[in-house]
Amino acid sequence: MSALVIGGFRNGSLEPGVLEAISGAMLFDGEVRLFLYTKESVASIQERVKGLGLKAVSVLAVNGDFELAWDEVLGAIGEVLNDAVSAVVLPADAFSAALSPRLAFKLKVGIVSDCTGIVKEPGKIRMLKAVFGSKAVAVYEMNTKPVVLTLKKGAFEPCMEKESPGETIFTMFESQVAPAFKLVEVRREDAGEDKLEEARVVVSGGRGMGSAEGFSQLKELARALGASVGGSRAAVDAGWIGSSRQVGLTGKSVRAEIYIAVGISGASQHMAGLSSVKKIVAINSNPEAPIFEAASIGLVADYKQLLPLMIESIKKGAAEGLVV
Amino acid sequence: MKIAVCLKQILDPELPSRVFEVDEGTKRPRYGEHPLVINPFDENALEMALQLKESDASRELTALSMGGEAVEEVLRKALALMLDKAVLIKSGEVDLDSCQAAQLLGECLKQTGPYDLILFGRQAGDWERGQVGAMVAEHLNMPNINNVYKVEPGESGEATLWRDLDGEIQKIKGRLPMVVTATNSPSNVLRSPKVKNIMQAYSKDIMEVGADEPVPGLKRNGQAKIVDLYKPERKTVCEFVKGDSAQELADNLIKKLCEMEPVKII
Repeated sequence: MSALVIGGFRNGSLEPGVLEAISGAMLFDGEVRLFLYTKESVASIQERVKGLGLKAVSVLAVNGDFELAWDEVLGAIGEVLNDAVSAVVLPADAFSAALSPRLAFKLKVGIVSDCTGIVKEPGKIRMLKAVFGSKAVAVYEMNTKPVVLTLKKGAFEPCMEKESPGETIFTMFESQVAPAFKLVEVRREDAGEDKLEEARVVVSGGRGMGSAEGFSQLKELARALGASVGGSRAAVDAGWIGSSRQVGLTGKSVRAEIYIAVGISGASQHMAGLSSVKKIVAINSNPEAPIFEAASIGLVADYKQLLPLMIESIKKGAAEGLVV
Repeated sequence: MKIAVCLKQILDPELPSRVFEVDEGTKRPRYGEHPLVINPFDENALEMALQLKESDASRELTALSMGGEAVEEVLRKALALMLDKAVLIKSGEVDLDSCQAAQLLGECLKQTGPYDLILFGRQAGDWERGQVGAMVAEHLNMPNINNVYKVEPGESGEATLWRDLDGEIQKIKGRLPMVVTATNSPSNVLRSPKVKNIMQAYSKDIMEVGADEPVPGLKRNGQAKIVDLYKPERKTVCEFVKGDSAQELADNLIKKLCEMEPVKII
């Protein structure tokens, strides 16, 4: 029995989520093999992964762009899969979202995307996953070998180096597939901005902000508090804030100590990005808004009156001790 | 040029958690009278298709939707937005997993195509799988790419795509035909249909496929079996800040923020 992890290696390190995928793969009894796609040398990879206790590491040298190499990985999968593999585990990112369903379909096996847990019971393994915008948790059972799993970011602890990792067999091979897509240009929309995922206080706005002017008040409150600015999908779609600031199931997950949600109704899609937030403070004019079900502190008011007064008070020093 | 847009009808994702219920017998949500909507990311795909038609009227747009009779509503909306064709894929009440859905859809795309571009939303707000688009690509032996918010077909079968990965914007070139799954952006928020077109949409034809016979080879049953579905527990109790004036509310809230443990951010 063995489990296979598929991940990328670039700029001298494993892509985010690969160490977590290795931890997930170790829950399946037996050895763990790693299949890395990269444009870098085997030597740098060996140095990075030799302590992880892996049985084997197969390295695929991709022809085209690293970011778009899912065709190449799929084309090479026959080199690393055999009958002993009971699970193929990947980090849940855009690369895996393009690759893993194709892989499962090609192999005619079951797949669970965005797993939040793997539960071992006698004779079977169950997978947990948030569904319906995190309103419910689904429990999956698989009856194929292998199964394909992608693991939700942050749901598993990263694999640590082992004291006696044993020997790892390294093999390298070239991709035989011509990539279907070519990267022409890359730019970061959020260059120079603070990292929303790492912020300790986040001030976030939703549809209830109503306008770009409303949203600029929110940004001013965030500045006064030394907080990061976020938004719901509705705010991003309205163009009030960039997509790099979208919080929720298909945006960022934040880990703030305080998350101040203004004019956000609390749709479960948005709340899914707040599972690691310590305390939610909700400001909404609708006392029935679902956000109050998840908030520790609530305030029913029109933000248009409230925010300028808050900003003024903070500037006068009312929030000393809170401001970063 | 033929473009297909695949639309999934789902339980309204805005449905508050407190009214979402699980049927204990089937371990599926209780739909009841709750509203059904087009999956939001599929709406982004639909808008992208409409923009392609605007820039070149010779492009033919087909909407496809799979399910029971209720999905007719999805297709009527697509027709009201002036898509050229609508295809209802009758899958009955059977609960298809992604593999089965992709096969059935893939076969119907073959039957009504071939298409140069097949558009999906990146994932659906019900089971949150995000699998069918990529699987259809595998079934049809086409390349696939996800998180795209804009497509621009160019000369001799080339296409330029813009991808958004949480703020990293990628400009990409590829060759048609291809399967593209859409992400949301201010540029692809679905427009509203004109009232006159909504009326007319009801007299347009909807092609029905897959009505009686199951697709040959549709045998991959129960690979990803859902054995349980439950609502996670919530433990938070909300403390409401009071005040007689807006000023008092603002001051009381700031006071509360300063008292919050474990904050004390210095």
